Amino acid sequence: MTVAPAPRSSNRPLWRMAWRRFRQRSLQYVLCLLGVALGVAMMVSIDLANGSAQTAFELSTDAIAGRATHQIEALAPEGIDESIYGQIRQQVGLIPTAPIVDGYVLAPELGNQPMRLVGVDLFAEPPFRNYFAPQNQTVGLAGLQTFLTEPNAVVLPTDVAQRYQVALGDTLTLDLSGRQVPVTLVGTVQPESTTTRRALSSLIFADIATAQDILQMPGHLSHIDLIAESEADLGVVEALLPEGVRLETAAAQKNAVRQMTAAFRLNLTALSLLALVVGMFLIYNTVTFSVVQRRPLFGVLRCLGTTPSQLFTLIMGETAILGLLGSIAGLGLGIVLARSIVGLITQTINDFYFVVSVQQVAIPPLLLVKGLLIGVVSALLAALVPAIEAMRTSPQNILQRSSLENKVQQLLPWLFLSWVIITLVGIALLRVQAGLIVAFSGLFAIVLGSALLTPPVTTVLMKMVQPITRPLGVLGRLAPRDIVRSLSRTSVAIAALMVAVSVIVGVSIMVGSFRVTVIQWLDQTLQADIYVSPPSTTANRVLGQLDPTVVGELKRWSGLEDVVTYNDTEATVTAFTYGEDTLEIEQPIKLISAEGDVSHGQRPYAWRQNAVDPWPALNRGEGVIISEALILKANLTDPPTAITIESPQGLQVFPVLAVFYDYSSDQGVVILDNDPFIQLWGDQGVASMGLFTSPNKDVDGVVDDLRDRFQGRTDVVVQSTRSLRDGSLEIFDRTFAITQALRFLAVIVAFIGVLSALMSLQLERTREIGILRATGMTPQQLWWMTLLETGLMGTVAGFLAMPLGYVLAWILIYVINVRSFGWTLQMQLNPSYFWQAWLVAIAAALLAGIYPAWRLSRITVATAIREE
Amino acid sequence: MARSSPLQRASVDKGSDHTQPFIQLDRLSKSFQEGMVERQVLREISATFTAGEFVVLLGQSGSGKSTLLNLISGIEQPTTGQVSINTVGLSALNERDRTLFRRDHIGFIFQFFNLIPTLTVLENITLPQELAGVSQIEVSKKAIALLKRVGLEDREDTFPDKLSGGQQQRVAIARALVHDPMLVLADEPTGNLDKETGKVVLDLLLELTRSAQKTLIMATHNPDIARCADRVLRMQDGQLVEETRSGQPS
Amino acid sequence: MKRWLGWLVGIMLGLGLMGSPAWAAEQGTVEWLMPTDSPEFQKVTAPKKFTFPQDFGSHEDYQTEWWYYTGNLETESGRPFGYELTLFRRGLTPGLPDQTSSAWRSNQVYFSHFTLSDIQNQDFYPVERFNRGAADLAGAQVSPYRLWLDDWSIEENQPGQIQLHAQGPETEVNLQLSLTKPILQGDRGYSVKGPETGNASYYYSIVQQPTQGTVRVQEETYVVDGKSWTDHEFSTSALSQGTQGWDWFSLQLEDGAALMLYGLRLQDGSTTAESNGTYVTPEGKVLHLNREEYQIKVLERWTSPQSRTQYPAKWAISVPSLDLEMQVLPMINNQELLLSTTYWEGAIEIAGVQSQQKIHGKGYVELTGYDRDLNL
Repeated sequence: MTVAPAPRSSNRPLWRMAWRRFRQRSLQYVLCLLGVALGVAMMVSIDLANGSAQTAFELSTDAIAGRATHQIEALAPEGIDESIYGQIRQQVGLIPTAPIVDGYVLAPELGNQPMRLVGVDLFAEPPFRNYFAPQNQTVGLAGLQTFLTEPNAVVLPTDVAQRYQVALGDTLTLDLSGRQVPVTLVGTVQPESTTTRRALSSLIFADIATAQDILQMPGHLSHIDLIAESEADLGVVEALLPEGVRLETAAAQKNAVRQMTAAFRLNLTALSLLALVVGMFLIYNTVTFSVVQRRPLFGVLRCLGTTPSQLFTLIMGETAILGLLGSIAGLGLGIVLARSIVGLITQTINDFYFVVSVQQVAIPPLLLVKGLLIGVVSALLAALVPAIEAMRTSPQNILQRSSLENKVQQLLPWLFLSWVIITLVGIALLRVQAGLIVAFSGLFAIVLGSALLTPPVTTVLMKMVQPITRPLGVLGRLAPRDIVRSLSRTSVAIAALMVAVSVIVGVSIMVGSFRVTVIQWLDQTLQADIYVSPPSTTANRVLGQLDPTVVGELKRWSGLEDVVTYNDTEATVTAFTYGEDTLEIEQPIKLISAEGDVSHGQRPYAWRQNAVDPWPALNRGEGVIISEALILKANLTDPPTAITIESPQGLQVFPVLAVFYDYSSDQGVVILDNDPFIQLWGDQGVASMGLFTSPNKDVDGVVDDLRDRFQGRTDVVVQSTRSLRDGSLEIFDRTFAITQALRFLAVIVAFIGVLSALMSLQLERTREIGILRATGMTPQQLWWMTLLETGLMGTVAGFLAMPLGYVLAWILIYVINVRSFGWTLQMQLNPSYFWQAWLVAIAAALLAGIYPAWRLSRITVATAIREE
Repeated sequence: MARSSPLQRASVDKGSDHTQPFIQLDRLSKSFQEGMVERQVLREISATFTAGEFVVLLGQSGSGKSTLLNLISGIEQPTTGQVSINTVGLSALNERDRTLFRRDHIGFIFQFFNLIPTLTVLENITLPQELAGVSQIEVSKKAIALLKRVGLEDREDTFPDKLSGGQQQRVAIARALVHDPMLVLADEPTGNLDKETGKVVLDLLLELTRSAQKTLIMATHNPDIARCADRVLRMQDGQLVEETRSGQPS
Repeated sequence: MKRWLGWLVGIMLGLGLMGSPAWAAEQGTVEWLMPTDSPEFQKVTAPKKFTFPQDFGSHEDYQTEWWYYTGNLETESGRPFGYELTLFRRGLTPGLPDQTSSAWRSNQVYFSHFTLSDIQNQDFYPVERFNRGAADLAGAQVSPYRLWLDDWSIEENQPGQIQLHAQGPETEVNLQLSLTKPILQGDRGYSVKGPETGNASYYYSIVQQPTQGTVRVQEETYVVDGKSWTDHEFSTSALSQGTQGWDWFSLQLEDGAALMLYGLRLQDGSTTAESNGTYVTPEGKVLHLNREEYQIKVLERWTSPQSRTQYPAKWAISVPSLDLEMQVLPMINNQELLLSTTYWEGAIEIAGVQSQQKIHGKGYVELTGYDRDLNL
């Protein structure tokens, strides 16, 4: 029996035709490619920049952790009593342990970056890290002599020393919250692998004794690294640890940090995805156009025996190539972009989360593959509908363009219905009390749903606009009708522009509202007249403490009515208590130890017990005041009656006196009176002070006096309320700089979308334009008509973007922000957000119209007429 | 004339003597570059058309009839040679002025009607005048009158795609005449119509142009039409050959 | 003389911090700033007056110091073991370190070698530790006498009684030593190592110390007793030019006598003029032996399968002035320490004849400079 051969078919002729078309309409494809590229670039750059900051932190954490499996940490801010290490060595010398003393310093000679000073004990190092493996033993010994015996001797990674041109024997300055410590470079270390080298690039090594001296941690260690081979080892070590010292896995710290910034990173990623969505409109548009234009050709091809699936393959294949090329270009662009935004992201992470110095954008291949994949897949998704359309081309009936437009017209009610359904789904998603990803899905559903509304709304608006444009003569009549007649094309461009502009509106409202809220909050909270603190290693957080003699002197300073002091440490809330019920959680917090209220009772509260000022009770040590972020981030709505905090003296339960607003941290803040804090955490230090001047005293005068008194002291910064407030707003604006950059990128993609849509439209209309020109339309009139059309499209996009932008802002403020950061913002509407966005839409559309108009005005009338 | 803008120089005295040469073609040549090869379509054509004349251009498709019409209307520029209409040299004008000249003095009728699909029948007819800035009310009156003449007075608000081919071409004729041009150029106006409809349209066109003593130059490959013409010219190898026919006054 | 000279301790230190070969997976380049002024330690140039217990402790004016404890033990049923626990001190700078607030600041580096020889199973277990002489991590104190590095310690827990404890991944010793009278080596404890001034050390030994306690190998613990030998030596000196290494013998005879011999080897295989020895009679009388008074002849050699180094593995020793002829034989051939430096130090047994009487004994032998020329 013979098997019938499978029907043979080759796509080669189809590809040849596709290639010809690519060449003929290259600009069209280049624009589409650019759209994909920008979308992918934005996503990839955000991913890379985020990843680099994270990787840099993890690498340096890994570099410091080495082969440690566990770390012994203290809950007390001052660290672990060093005698614990001696005890462990003398009791269980077999288990490898290594002491670490580390802290952040600024090194003016090393680019003024925050660096991590890591104090190591070389004798304990070999099982953990071997950066100090010398090649020449006698040299090693002599070097060891300076490293171990000379005070303030440090070792730098060779790369860093070379970059900043410091040589062995040079003196550097380390700045610790204003305290300047001169150190000598006695060694350089260069690991073989580039990964390790990169990891070390923000580290300064010193002997543990030197580190204790520089960081002023006598008697204490930051942590102890441990290599535990068995549970038994851990048990033995744990038995030796006193209260307030605990054993953690080495991975725990990385996880904590990852979780800390998760919301921040997800927000940026979501924003970057918007550009890709706008890019998808562009692909959809280009592919649809290419299908519609080739419909007669496809009809003929079908007659000649091309199968529907071959046509489908052709369209999807073309799109895949476009998507791939665009994505590859996007990757390159993304890497370039990432280099410029990584600084912004790092700055924000330094301001709000942890100190990290990113010297280089890490480019993990997996991330690039992901970018490529997402780029191609979204291109294919966007091309799916037109590809199916192409597949359905019947051989006999060559569908005319007008019938497609008729179909669109018939679709309008369905589009409206789809919008309603998708929007409802979006709302449902937003209402679900689930993670951020669900919330963002809801947001995307609403944005994409509104794109479906574009064709019906455009149709209605164009009918409404005709009486207005009629006085413009025949051009005024032609323009709106052309938009409606080519709705399948124009509405996609309008939708893309609308989405982009609505992002501008939404983000502007959100950032604006945020800013106003923060200003109000600062004004209410910062009631003291003068603030004194050490200069910070990072802008937002005070990492050092004030010299106790300065604190004492300021407390006795004449002309002051009141002095409040603050100190803080990191802690963990382990439980929320609601009456009888206890909810176990694990939420890292910033624990503030306060002596006095810096707001003098002006601070607004989200909730107060018995609606009275909680400070007297706080002062009596009767409980704590917690920030709303602490509750909101735990996905709770009601304030707990009490919270449990892990202290060096064990778990402590504190009744909750009030819930206050705090926009300085998204980690949750707890305020505790300084007396119980000192008792439990054993830290008497003061990180910052607020001074209230006597009513009869001139604030500026006191500031001048204080500055005179502390002149030449780099570790004391005296600031007026105004400069502190301005400084805070500067950080705020810096934080949102990246947001601003992102939304404009989205507009650029939309601009390309409009340009591309107009180009296709104009190409289609060449013949019609030819007739118009033959009938007597001057090139100038043609210009006007084109710009009128694009202007109208921009107007519609802007018009639609306003309500959508408002909705977006609402979602960002009341859902995303609350869930991401636990911040409640008051929405502030400013008319300028709207009209500026509208102007942007129109301007973008008009700009996009210039090139097509110019091309049209130059067409050869005779050729145009001949075209059919 | 005191001022001498190109446009004014290009204006045509509509009351000129019919026996005077109205259009002069002076050694017109037109060639197209096709890849590496230059294809000569028209070779050194010289001809004169008088006002009110009806001239038929006969020739096979691709013989250069349309190109000649495009040169006369200023839609295309000759490679060498001159077109002057009532002493106005078209080559001397720039693109904008050629458009304005065309808009004021020339009516165009195409084989494929070429109505603007987004404009109603009436709006299609008023288009050239409106483009010239004439008020809509003023031009509408004229257009409605013309519509009546072409027998479509009840269809003024219809869109072109709802009309038959013959009806569309009648609208196109109305559009070509609405600004009262002295010269009407028609490129195979019946080429896309069945014989019956073609005849009706042709009669209408002749009636409207001849009665207003307009110069009509029509390109066609239909020899039947030639019988009504004042003169018949045949395009051959890029050159014009006058056809002499008996029984016609010259 | 006994054992290593100061700079060798330095070599071991450098190598030790480099990490054992297991960590060499990721190496790096380290460059150090060289100290501009070389430290001035005191030199040993003349005999000194030894005072005990003060001289049991450390002498930080001298650069290098070590305390050696070796011993041969056996269970009641006669199963033999050998142990070695050594603490080395190396001063980076003389005198006290710069005073800073940190308790970790130190100019004293300690390191220690601990080995256990399981003779029956022919297993040898060497372990090494490093630490600084600060923050209670390592040190040598006089009163009460205590030497320690991490959890390894040698301390006088009751007068005249020394408790010795050390633990490796597979082995552990817990021993109680009874102090005997210190024997001053060389000229009243002044032991000359070379012709140059200051190329000498202060050196005393404590021999024939009754020892009992437990040793653990893997999961098995054995009750043992036997004899231990202590060496304590401190100096600021280097090997003379041309010296390749040394062979050192600490022999404890069953009749209560003890013999220490060493030979500083030159490139041609001969020993230097300064090589010498000491014989302690069962009654505790000390006889000095100079280079000409004894002969050591290598009878067999053994090649280490790990380091490919060839070591002597059987000796014939004769001391004509004592009418002593004996053969010394390693109880395990492979007692090579592949630590930061490579050398051989292990338990040996002795059989011979003295004045027509058969004699037996045990002891320790140290062989250095066989893997490389120590005189770099």
